[in-house]
Amino acid sequence: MSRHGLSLPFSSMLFLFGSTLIGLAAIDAGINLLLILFGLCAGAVLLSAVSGWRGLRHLTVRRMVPDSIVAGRPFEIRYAVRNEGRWAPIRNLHVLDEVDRFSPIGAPEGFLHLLRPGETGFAGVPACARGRGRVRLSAIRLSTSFPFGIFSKSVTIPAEDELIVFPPLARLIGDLESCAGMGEAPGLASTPGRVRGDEEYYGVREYRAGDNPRRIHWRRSARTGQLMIREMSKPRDHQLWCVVDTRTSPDDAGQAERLEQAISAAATAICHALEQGSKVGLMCNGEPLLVLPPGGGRAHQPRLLRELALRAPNHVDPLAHHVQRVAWPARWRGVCLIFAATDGADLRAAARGLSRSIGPTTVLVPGTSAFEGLFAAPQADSEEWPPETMRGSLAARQRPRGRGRSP
Amino acid sequence: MMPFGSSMRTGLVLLALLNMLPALEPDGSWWILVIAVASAILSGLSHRRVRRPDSLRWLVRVAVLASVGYLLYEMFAPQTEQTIYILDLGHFIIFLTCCKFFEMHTHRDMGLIVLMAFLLMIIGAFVSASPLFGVVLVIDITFGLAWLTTFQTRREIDQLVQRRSRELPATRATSYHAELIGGAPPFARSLRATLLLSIALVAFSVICFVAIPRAWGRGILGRMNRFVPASATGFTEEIQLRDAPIVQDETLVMRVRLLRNGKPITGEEAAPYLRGATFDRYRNGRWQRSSAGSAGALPVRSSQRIVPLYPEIDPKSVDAFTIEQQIWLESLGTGALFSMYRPVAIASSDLRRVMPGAADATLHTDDPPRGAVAYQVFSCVSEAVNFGREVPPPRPRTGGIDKIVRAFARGYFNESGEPIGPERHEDLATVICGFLRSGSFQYTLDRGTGPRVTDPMRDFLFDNPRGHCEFFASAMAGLCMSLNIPARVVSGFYGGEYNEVGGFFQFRRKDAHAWVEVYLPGRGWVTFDPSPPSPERRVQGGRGLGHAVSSFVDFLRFKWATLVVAFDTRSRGDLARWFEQWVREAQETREGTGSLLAVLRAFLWGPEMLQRWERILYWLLLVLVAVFAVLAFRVLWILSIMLQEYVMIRGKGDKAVVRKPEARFYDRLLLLLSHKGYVKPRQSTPREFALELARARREFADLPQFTEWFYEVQYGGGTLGRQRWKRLEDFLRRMREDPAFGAR
Repeated sequence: MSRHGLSLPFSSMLFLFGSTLIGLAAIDAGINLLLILFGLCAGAVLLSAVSGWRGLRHLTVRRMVPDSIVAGRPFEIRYAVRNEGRWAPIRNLHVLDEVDRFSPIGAPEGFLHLLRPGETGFAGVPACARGRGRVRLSAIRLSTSFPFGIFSKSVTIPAEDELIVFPPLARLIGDLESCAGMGEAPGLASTPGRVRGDEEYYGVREYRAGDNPRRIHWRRSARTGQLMIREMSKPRDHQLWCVVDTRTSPDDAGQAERLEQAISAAATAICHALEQGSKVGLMCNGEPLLVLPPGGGRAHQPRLLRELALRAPNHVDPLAHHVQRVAWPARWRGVCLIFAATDGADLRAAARGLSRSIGPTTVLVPGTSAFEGLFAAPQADSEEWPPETMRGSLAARQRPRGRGRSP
Repeated sequence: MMPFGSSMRTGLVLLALLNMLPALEPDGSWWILVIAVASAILSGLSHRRVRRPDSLRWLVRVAVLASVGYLLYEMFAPQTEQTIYILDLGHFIIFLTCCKFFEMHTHRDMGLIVLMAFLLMIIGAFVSASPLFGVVLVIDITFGLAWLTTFQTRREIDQLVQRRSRELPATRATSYHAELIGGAPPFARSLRATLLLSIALVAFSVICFVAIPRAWGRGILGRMNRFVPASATGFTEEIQLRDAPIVQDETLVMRVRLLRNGKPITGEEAAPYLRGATFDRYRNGRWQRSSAGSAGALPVRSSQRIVPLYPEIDPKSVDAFTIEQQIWLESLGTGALFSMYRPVAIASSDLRRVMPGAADATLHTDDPPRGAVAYQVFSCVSEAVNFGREVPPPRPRTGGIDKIVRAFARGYFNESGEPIGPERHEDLATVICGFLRSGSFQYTLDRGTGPRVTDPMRDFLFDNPRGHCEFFASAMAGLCMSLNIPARVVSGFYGGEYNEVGGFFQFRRKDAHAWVEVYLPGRGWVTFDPSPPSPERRVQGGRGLGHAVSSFVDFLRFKWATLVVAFDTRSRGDLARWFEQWVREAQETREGTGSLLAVLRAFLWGPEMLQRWERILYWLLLVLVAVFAVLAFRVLWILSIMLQEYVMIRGKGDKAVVRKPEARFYDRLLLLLSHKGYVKPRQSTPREFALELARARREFADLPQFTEWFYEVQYGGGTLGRQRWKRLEDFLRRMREDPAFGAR
C-alpha cells in the first residue's frame, strides 16, 4: 500500500512565519497593499500544499535495473513513471529509491521535469557502487515540491527488489598460471603457449575493464544491453580452487581493507580462469561455510561472484578447521589459491591441508610480494559508462523489475 | 557548480531592480535607482570577465560598510527632512542588493536577492500608494513567478546532482547535470504554465483583500505608514498641508442649478463658490475649526417646506435678495452640506435635520442619509445684507503660525510698523492676494519632495513656492492673521462645468477647492481666492495622445487610490450592499422573474449600469471567484483526505511497550545507537537490525548476541547473569565514551 507524506522544511517554516507576520502587520496597520502581499503568500502556501498532491496518487512507476553490477563501475537504473491521471500534470517530480542504510550504493534519485496526463516519462539515474554487497530496494518514493517549494508532497510505492554488487575486479598484471603452478598440477593437461596471431574465436563474454576494446562485439552488445567482447582463447581443462579466508580481527581496520582486496583478487582470478576455460571451485569460511565444487561455463561465474559479493567478514571461524572437515574427492583435485587478509598459523595449517587434499597451493595475502606481483588495483573508470551511443539500446534492454502502482 | 546561466542571472537582476521602484517612488530617490542599475551593469560585465577576483571581493565589502554608514547617517544625522525609518531601511536594502549583484555565485546568493526583493515589496506596501506598486506586483506574479519556478527547478536539479556526485565520477556527474538541465522546458513554456498559478494567486489575494475585516488592530505598525504619497482630489473636512502629490479625481460629486428670481444663472455669469467647511486656527500644518457656533439641530422634515435657518428671517422676504440653489449631492459622506454664502433657508425631502453654523455660516447634518441627497438652499446675494447677525470675529489666533511667517508679514506688508486699522484690512488683503498670485508661486498638485521638519506654510512661502490651493489659501490666511486681520480658510467646490443643456453646474471631485474669507468691517466675510489659475485645469482642455495617456494614468491612479489603497470597512459594507441590492433588482426586474435561468443570466451579465471597462472587470472578477471556488473545493477535499490518512495512521500507532526491568538495557542501547546515527527502522525487528549493523560495522559484531539476550529476558522469562551484565555495561560504556565507536 502506498504511503503519502507532506513535509515542511525549515526554510518553509520561516516563510510561514514571515507570511503570518505580514498578515498580522497588515491587519494591525490596516495597510491594504500589505494585505494583498499577505494574500499572495497565503495563496502560495495553500497552492504549494495541495498542488500535485492528488496527482501523485495517479502515478505508477517501474524500475529497470541492469543484470550485473560491479563495484566501482558506473551503471544506470531507469524508472518509467506513468501519469494515469486525466487532468493534472506533475512537474518537478523526484524519483527516489529507498535503499538500506549500509547499502554499497547511495539512494538512486531521478528527476522528471513534466509528466502530462497519460504520459510515461523515463528517468535514468547513473550510479556507481562503492563496494560489493547486497542492495535491497524496498520502495520508490515519488515527490514534488512544485510550486514554490514550500511543501514537499510525496507518495511511497512499495517496490521490493534486490541487486547484488559484485566485487571490483583487479587488474591482472602477472602470470596467474605460473604462479599457481597450473602446468605442474597432477592430472592436468599442459597449457600450450599462446603465440600472437594464432588465437581462435571461442565465444562471446561480458566486457571487463582491461579487455581489448578492439574485440568488443558491437552487434551482440546492442542486442544484450551490455558490452560484450569476442573471446579468442581455447578452452583448457584445468581445475582451480579459490579459497577465501574471511577471518579478520575486529579491532584491526587494515585487515578489513585487505580482506576486500583479497576478495577482489579472488574474483579476478575466478573470472580469468573461467575465461581460460578452467573449472573453478570456491571455498569460504564463515557463517555459513561455503564449498562450491569446480565448475565452468557462463552460468557458473555469476554464482561464484555472487557468493563473493555477499560474503561477510568473520571474526571467529578458522579456515583450517573446515579444510580438515571437508571430504575432498579425487575429481576435485587441481591447483589452489588461498586469498586471505592476514597470514597466520591457521592459514598455514589450512594451506598444508589443501595441498594434501587438492594439489599445489599458493597463499596470496595483500601486501605480500606474491600478491602485488599478480594483482593491481583497478583503474579509475573515468570514461562514460555506458557509452553515449549505447544508451538507447540499454534503455530498451534493461530488465524491468519492481512494478509499483499506487492504489 | 554554477547554479544558473546568464539568462537566469539577468532575469533575477531585472526582477530585483523592478521591485526597488515602489520603495523608491514615494520620496523620489531615483538617484539610488541609478546606482542600482549601474551596479547591475557593472556586475554583469565583471561576471563575464573575471571570476571572483580579490579586488572585487574587497570592493563589495567596502560597499557593504558604506551602506551601513549611509543607513546610520540617514537615521541619526540631523536633516531638514523628517526621518522615516522604513524608507531608510528600504535604501539600505537596495544598497545591499546592489552589493549582492557582484556576489551571485550560489543558490544562497540568489535566494538572498529574491528575499531582499520581497522585502522591498513589503516596504513598498508600507509607503507606496501609487499604481506602480500594482504594476510591479503584476509583473512579479507573471514573469517573476515563471522565473521563480525555473529557478526552483534548476536548484532542485543542482542539489540532486550534487547528492549523486558523491558516488559518481566527475565527468559522469557533469554530463548528468547537463542532461537534466537540457530537459527543462523553455522560459516561454514556463510562463504559460505558471499563468494558472498566477490566476490562482490573484484569486486568493482578492478574496483575502475583500474578506479580511479592517480596523481590528490598534495600528502599532501603522505608525510606519506615515507617508502615503498620493491622494485624490476631493472635499475633506480637514486641511492638512502635506507634501503629497494629488491625483485628479473625475468622480461626479453634485449638480447644482442656480436661480435668481426664478431665472437660471449660467456659467458665463458666475463661477460659484460652494462652501463646505471653514477653518480659522492653524497648528503644525493643520487647520482646525475653533468653533462653529452651531445653533443646534434644526428639523427640516421630509417635506418641501422652506425652513428658515434663522428665526428672525421671514421666508417670504428671502426671494428679494437671495440666490436659490437646487443641489443634488451624489453621496453625503461627511455630513457637510454645500451652499453659497450665506444660507438663510433650506428645504429638502431627504434630510431630517441640519445644523447651521452661526459663526461661519456653513451647513451640516448629523444624520446623513445613504445615497444621493437633494436639497434647496437660499443664500444672500450681497454680503452686506446680514440680517443683523453680523458678529465681529474674535482676534485671530496666531499662536500656531511660524514666527518667521509672522515677522515676514509685518516686515513686508507693513513696513512702517504702524498699527493696522480696520480701514486698511481690505487693501492689505488685496495686496497679499496679489502677492500670492503674482507668479512667484507656482500652482501644482505635486510638490515633489518628502515631508519636512519645517512648517509647511513657511516652507511654501520661503523654500518651495509650489503647491496647490490649500497652500495658497493657508499662506494668505496665515499672512492676514499675522497682521491681525481676521481671516479663515474655506474648503468646498469652485467653478465646475456648466451644462448648457441641463442648465446646471456639474461638480466633480477635482473641483474641490480652498480659498480665503477675510472679515471686513461693514462688509462681513469677503471671499479672496489667492490661487492662480491651475495648469491642471488648462491641461483638461488638451487633446491628443499625450493627453489621453495622461488622463488614463490619472484615472488609474485615482482608481488605485480609491478602490485599493483606501478600501476600508465602509467600502466593504458598500460593496456588500451594492451586491445585495443588485441581486434583489436582478431578481425583481429581469425578464422571467423568479426563474433560475433569468437569475443566472443576470448574474453572468452583471449590473446594467456598468460601463464597458467595469463590465470587463466584473467578468474578470467572476473568473477569479470561480477559480477560487474550484481551488477552495479542491483544498477542502485534499485536506479531508489528508486528515483521514493522518487519523488512520495515528489510529494504528504503536501500543505502549511494557519493558521488563532487566530488558531496559535494550532501550539504552537503541538510544546510544541513535546518537551515533543508527536509528532502528520501524519495520525492522531487533534481530534484523542487529545483524545489519554487525555486517556493516565490525565494532557491532556483538550486537546480535546482545539482542538474543534481550529476547530471552523480554520474552523468554530469562535473566541476565553477572557476566552478561558486565559485558553489556562494558559495551555500552565504550559506545558512550568513544566518539569514534561504531565508525569502524
